[in-house]
Amino acid sequence: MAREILKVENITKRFGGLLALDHVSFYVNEGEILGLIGPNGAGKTTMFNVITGVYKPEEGRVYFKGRDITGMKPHSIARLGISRTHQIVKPFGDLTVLENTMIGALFGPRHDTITEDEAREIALSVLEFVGLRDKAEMPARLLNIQEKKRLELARALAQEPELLLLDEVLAGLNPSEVAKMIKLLRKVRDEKKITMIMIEHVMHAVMNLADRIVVLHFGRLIAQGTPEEVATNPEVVAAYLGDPEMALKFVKRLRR
Amino acid sequence: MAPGKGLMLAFTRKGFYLSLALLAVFIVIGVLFWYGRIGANIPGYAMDAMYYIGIALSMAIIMSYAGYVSFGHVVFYGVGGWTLVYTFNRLASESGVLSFLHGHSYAILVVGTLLGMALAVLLAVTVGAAVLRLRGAFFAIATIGLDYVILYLESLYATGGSDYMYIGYERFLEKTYFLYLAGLILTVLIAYIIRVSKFGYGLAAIREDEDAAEVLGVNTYRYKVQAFAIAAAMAALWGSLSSWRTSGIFPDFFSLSKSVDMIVMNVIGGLGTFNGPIIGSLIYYVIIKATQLYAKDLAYIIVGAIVIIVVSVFPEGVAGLIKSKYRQLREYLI
Ligand SMILES: Nc1ncnc2c1ncn2[C@@H]1O[C@H](COP(=O)(O)OP(=O)(O)O)[C@@H](O)[C@H]1O
Ligand SMILES: [Mg+2]
Repeated sequence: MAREILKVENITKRFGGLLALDHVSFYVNEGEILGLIGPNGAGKTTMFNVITGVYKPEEGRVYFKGRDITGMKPHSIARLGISRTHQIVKPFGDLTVLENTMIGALFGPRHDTITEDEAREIALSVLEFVGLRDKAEMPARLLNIQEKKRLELARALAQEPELLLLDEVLAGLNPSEVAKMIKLLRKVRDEKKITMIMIEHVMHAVMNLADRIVVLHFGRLIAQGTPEEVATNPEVVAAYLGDPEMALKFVKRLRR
Repeated sequence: MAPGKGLMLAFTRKGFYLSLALLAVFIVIGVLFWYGRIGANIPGYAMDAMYYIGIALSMAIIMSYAGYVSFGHVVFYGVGGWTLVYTFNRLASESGVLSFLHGHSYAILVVGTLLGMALAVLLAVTVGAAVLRLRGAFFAIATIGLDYVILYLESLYATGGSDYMYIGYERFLEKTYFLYLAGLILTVLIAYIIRVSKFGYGLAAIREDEDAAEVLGVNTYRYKVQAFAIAAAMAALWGSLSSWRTSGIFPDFFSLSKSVDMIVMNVIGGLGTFNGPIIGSLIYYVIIKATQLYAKDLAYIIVGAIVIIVVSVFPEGVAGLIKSKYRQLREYLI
């Protein structure tokens, strides 16, 4: 039986009067890719912030490998093996691409024992992996948006996490860049065997990559299941996917 | 980081040779001075320069490396100077708790300096625990509160008489020169090791994007407090050395403009590199010395104008200029 790597239980998060997350529960199994979808403002990024300890939920608990991590500091959670990318990229602009990635390696789960030389090696191989090896010595601020997204991914991968949270890594990329990034994410799954939760608006990508999908709408979880189940769920179609024809096409493409 | 090969390699980087060359110049001047080959003028200038580099590097740990501008840094310098005087005249007096040190001025210097550094660390950790939860301008403003400690120290010596001001000992300028040199070598080494270590990477991450740093596993709060404490200890060291050189402290010693000096040197040098603050302090010292020599009354107005111009034209300082225009020289900055 698949082991649960992450479980969120009854998470409620308010911003003043706004209920950003309303008693949301779901789980992720080891080795799986979970898609997290929903309209803008649904609370997806907020969920990542709750999981990574950036926000404290008013209610509910977060369990990572069975351990209650609710309320822990973000740096402690990162060190347990949860890494993320940011929807709005946050490169260390003045530092080189290599330094950015090394920092990921130096402060991840192996922070206690890793040497700088090891961190550099890991960073270089991760940069090779994401296709930024030739930009290693460039200050991160000079990268274009597509490269900055790859750097977000590189920094997270350099931590050698067990769970990777991807916040719209495809947004703002043109179709050929999207295709490249999807290929990369496949590689992460197949070669690095890292469990992932991906927030994504690019439907064909998430329908293709995800094993299961969770749908948020105004802070509430309105559906979860396989891509087929979700794409044909009337409530999801009405709230988010819009066109049922379109939704079916995703599924068809998936079947091919 | 487990120290070892990586750290050893760090000392062979080109940028560090630049600092070694600078230290070598100071050593040569010291040796010539010791053997009476040169008068006291050049060593005097050299000591001024060492002082500026020392206080600039102490500020650099928190400002240039971690990105937090402190207007209260002179307090730690003041604590260092004050503690040395207090150690001399009270603790190590014939009736003080350290009376066994009485008459051994160099031993008192060492003990007094260490005490001052410890006191500065204590103050920095206490105050830092509160103010380091603030960011940006709010942090900077909060550190102004630290300056009130200075007013307290000033009131102490105002009421305490000259005991709180002067230290009487037999002075050898040559020895003082080498004390400064020792202080500088220590300061440069500490700053450099921090800059190239895992700790330095963490501070750089904090400077560039503190939220991203925290999410990547950097214990941002602990790192900031540690950086603040180290910066404070280094400032106290220079406060102590300065009060030794001038045989005591005097109202100007606590001048709040010293915090500004430290900030300006880092701004001129540019944030984020090891050699930036050193270059910035040398430039600043030359400007100050030149204006004092050639335009005494207008010195500070001219310095102020130069600072405004420099910051307007090169907002990222010398380091920023080199990084954008002379990329191949980047490795010399570290
Ligand atoms: N720090 C915050 N302060 C106030 N409101 C916030 C904050 N973060 C998110 N929100 C609000 O919470 C809701 C969910 O936001 P978010 O999680 O970013 O949505 P999504 O990522 O699904 O687009 C939005 O209405 C957003 O404006
Ligand atoms: Mg979002």
